[in-house]
Amino acid sequence: MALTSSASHGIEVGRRALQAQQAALNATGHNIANANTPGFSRRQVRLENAVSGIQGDIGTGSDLAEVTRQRSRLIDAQMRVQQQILGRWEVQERALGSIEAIFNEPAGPGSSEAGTIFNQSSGLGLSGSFSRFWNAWQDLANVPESGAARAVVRQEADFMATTLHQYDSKLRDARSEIDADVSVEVAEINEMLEELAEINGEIPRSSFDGGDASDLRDRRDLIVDELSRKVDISVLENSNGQISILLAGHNLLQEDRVVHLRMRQIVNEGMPVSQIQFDDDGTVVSISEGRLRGLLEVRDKIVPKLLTDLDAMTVSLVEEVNVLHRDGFGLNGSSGINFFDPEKTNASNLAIDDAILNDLNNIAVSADGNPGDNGVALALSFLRNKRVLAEETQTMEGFYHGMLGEIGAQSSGAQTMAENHRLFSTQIENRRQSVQGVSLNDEASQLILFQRAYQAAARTVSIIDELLEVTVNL
Amino acid sequence: MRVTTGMAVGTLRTNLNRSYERIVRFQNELSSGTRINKLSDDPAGVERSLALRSELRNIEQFQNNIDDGMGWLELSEATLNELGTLFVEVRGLAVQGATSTYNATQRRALADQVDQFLEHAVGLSEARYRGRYIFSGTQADVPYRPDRDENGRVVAISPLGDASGSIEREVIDGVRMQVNVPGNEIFEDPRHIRLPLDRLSTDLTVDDQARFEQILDTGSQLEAAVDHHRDIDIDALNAALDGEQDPPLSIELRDALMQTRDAFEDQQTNPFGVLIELRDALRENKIEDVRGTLGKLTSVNERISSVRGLIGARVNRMEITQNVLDRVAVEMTSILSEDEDVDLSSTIVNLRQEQDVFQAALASGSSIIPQSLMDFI
Repeated sequence: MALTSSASHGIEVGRRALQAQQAALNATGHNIANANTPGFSRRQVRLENAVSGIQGDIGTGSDLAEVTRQRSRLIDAQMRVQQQILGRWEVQERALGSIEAIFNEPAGPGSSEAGTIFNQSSGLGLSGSFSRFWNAWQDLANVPESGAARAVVRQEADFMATTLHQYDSKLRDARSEIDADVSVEVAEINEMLEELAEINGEIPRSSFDGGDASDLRDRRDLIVDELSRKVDISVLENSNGQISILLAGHNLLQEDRVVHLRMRQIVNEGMPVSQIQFDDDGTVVSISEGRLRGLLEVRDKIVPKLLTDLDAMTVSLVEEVNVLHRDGFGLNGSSGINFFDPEKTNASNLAIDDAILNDLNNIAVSADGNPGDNGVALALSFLRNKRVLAEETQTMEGFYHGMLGEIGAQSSGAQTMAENHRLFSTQIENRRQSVQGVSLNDEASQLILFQRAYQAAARTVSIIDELLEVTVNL
Repeated sequence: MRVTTGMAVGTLRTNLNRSYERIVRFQNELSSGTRINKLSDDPAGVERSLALRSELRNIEQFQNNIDDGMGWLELSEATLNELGTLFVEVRGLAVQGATSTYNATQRRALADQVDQFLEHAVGLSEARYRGRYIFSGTQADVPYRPDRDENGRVVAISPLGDASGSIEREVIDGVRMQVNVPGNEIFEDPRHIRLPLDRLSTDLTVDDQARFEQILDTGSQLEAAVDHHRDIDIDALNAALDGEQDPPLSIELRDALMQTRDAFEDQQTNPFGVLIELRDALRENKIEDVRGTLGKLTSVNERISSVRGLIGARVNRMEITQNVLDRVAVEMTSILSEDEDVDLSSTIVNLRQEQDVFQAALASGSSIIPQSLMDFI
């Protein structure tokens, strides 16, 4: 049988070509439209030649075979792990930055040094306060009978107490703020889980209608990225396109069922804080990465340690000063009097004893009762060198300086980690964009390609039309 | 690798941010003049510099203490200097009074002069530094007070309190230095005298020697001490001689103790006592008694000189300490500055470099990124 080919076949081939190129142009347009949309995966159009048995070797033109979503699951998984680590350090960087600011140690009034170590001019700072307190005792030792020198000692003690109160209350405030942040994070996690459950419900339906639900998947992956930054989830994708999310081996999301996280108020070291539990069985969530981990670490470890350290320092201060002071004699012959209130040994409530507040002459300077003796004042001042903390290896000031060094090191460590992981994230994001991102150059070349094909297909149709006209007019 | 427009923009943005962050940090260091603006800028440096600052504040306090102590010592020295001069003049009067050619009226006139000097000495004993009686020990609020007879003449003088307390200043970490001369070391009968062993009979039995040591608490063996004078406690000596002893003192031991007490009485050098004794001897025209005071006047002067020597030694030590503290403070300040202060030249160079990088990034970004194939179709 000889092969025959009709003009109408040619028009049909042209029509299909026009449709296919049009679809490809539309897909390119969609890519360009979403060039700046976060989380968007570019679409790639695949054309194929249409298969038909009837017309034999000539073929029946082209068809749009599929539109695929360009995405690498491997990179996505890497990114999620990276986001968890980054989230943890970023939040610590911020939280520790505000905590170290509490302890800024300006040189302040009463110090002779030119310039200031930290560019604040206020006189706050515990290190300076300690020095001035010890020095005030020396000044008093030089003039034991002086009421003015006594007043200075009391004032410096009061200033030191106020400073400790402030540090303590600022640390507690910081802790409450972090606790509030934890609540916000948990609420956001729950909202995201709800949204993901909704998308999980939609995806099989959209796929059933013939699409692969690319836009829903883009949206879903974006949310999962954000969720990863908050907490260390693991994600599994099922064959039907639904995802399951687990946290520490516990289901958070399965199909369209969500297990919420909930906050339970408990009291930890005298501070009300919230504990995070799974809503279904009430077990405590163990979190090892992500923003939540970062926040919990600062809230439950770093800040309580600082508060404990301040208290330890205060206990030593009160006890050591009182022991020496009780052995001395006031200007009025009084003895056995405490300088600090022995009942108040916390950084939050350190206070000068009422006896000293009521009468400056109760301040004990003399070791033997003679008004001109200064033995007790000198001994008190020498407490600055006594190793009373950290199992008697550190002086009060040394201990405090070490504490500041530790905060600084923690904060600077968090900054370095955050900076490193920001870099890693950028690298992974670049690799991801390399796969899924929209390149305007690519799209422009596609435009040219499909535009030319479209023009050529139209030209084919018009030529066949001319042929038909010739035939009709025979 | 496939590079998208978004990647190019993202990378540019990241790099611009990092570069700008560094520029701001350098700028902050330069404008504040310090390298450490918060704890995390250099945690180890912060710890070091806080410790140094605290040390510096200590040193500053020690310097204040030394200034105060020096004032105290210098006033004591000046006062004792004047007292020494006074005794030299009084001794001149005593020599005149001891001359047999003087008659009772002349001696009475000398007595009046001595009385004037006595009043002046009383005044000196009341010297005050920053409102405190410097010779009153730790009872610095009460001075020496004279007892006067019905004619208003000084007949005795004693401190109102206990003038023996030592007043100290901390001059360097843990080192205290006495800054006062307790009045009892100058104005009162000495509690301790030198034991003139060469004048003692040394034929004591071993047991008696041990007992002698024990009573006088000389802290050294009698034999070994023969060539030296030792300080002894006169109160213990009096108690041993006047009280009942068990077992009773041997005759030799009692003898040795009596000799020691006699020696002590020879060494009575209470300046006021000597002045009063001289004045009364002159007034009563007792030439022998006047002569008797000559030796004592010399002893008083020696006592004053030795105390002044002690003060001089302390002033020296204080000056040396002060010099050490000054040097340490200078060194610490320079270490502190190395830790804290910005190295201007290197920071400015860094800033310039970073500025160049920033400008290059801006320029290249603004010229490359807006271009794409779109411009040509």
